[in-house]
Amino acid sequence: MATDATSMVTAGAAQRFPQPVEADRATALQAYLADHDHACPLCGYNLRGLRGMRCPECDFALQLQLAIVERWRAAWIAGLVGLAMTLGANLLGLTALLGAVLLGLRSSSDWAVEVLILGGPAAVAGTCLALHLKWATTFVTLSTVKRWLVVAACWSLPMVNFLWIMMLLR
Amino acid sequence: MDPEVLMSTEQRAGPGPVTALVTGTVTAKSFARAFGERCPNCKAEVASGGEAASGPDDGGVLRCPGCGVELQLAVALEEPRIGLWVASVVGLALGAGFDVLALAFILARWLLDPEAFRPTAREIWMPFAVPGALMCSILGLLILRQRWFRERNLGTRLAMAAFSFVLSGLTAGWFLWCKQ
Ligand SMILES: [Zn+2]
Ligand SMILES: [Zn+2]
Repeated sequence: MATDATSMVTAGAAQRFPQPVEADRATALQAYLADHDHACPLCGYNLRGLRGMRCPECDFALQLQLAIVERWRAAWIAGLVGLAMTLGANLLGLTALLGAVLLGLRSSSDWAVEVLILGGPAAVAGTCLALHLKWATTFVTLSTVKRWLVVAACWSLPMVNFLWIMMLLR
Repeated sequence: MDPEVLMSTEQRAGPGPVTALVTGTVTAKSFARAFGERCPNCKAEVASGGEAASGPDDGGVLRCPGCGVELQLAVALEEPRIGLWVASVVGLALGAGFDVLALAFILARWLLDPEAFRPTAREIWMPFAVPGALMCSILGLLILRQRWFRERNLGTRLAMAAFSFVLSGLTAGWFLWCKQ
């Protein structure tokens, strides 16, 4: 039955299924690509008329699936980078500070306050980063404007962090 | 004409292919119903209540009954290969953030009170500016060359993700080394 379906697809004339046919995922992929231009998600090769389930150009295995129409990933990554940079600034700042104390590069009296000054924003940024990862599914459902507002909020964190450090660290 | 699924998905025991009887064109709606697809965002079963957001002839966009996102048919990699790329981006952003914020802090202090705080060029370039530029460049390159990263095999991708975190850790170590 599956062979019949494949032959119907590859015959070209039967890209639509006028008669019910048994279709597996491979057949569905080939049927879809028989009359659709679709670039390989990895190498960009036009997959129209594909036979088999691998890209002829890059040889990676392909599948037909439901995908989200909205282009959300760029905004999500932008927010992620802003939060990760804030976390890194404070976390690595803390590491460097403790390293300096251990190596005797800092006096033992004044570093404890700096641990709190860097530790607070590190905790906030870490929490925001975890929430950004956890709520990715909600992020996807936001409108474009709201999505970029979230990104702006993510990038305001390093700005606030900078002002915080400027005020408290001397 | 709206494609129809004549028989619901027949899940075979074991790893065999899922088959269904379909007629008409392959659209998001027919595909979801034939194969019992779930929403890639919220995992809700789209086939049960997915509403057609637009006609099947223009690509057949479906709206997920769970989260409301619009879904369409797409050809994707069987293995998405995105997780380790995201991990690498986070790893490099940690180090880039440290250098950029530290550099901004030093320059701001210098500009606000040049009499009290006057860092030497070596104190700016060596510990922060050079590694910061390096980290930001690698991060930018990684974001722009996502496709290149995803084409690597699992071992290479794992190594690159681990290396991005190690590189970030080294920025703090490098700062300490410069301070000595
Ligand atoms: Zn390809
Ligand atoms: Zn959903």
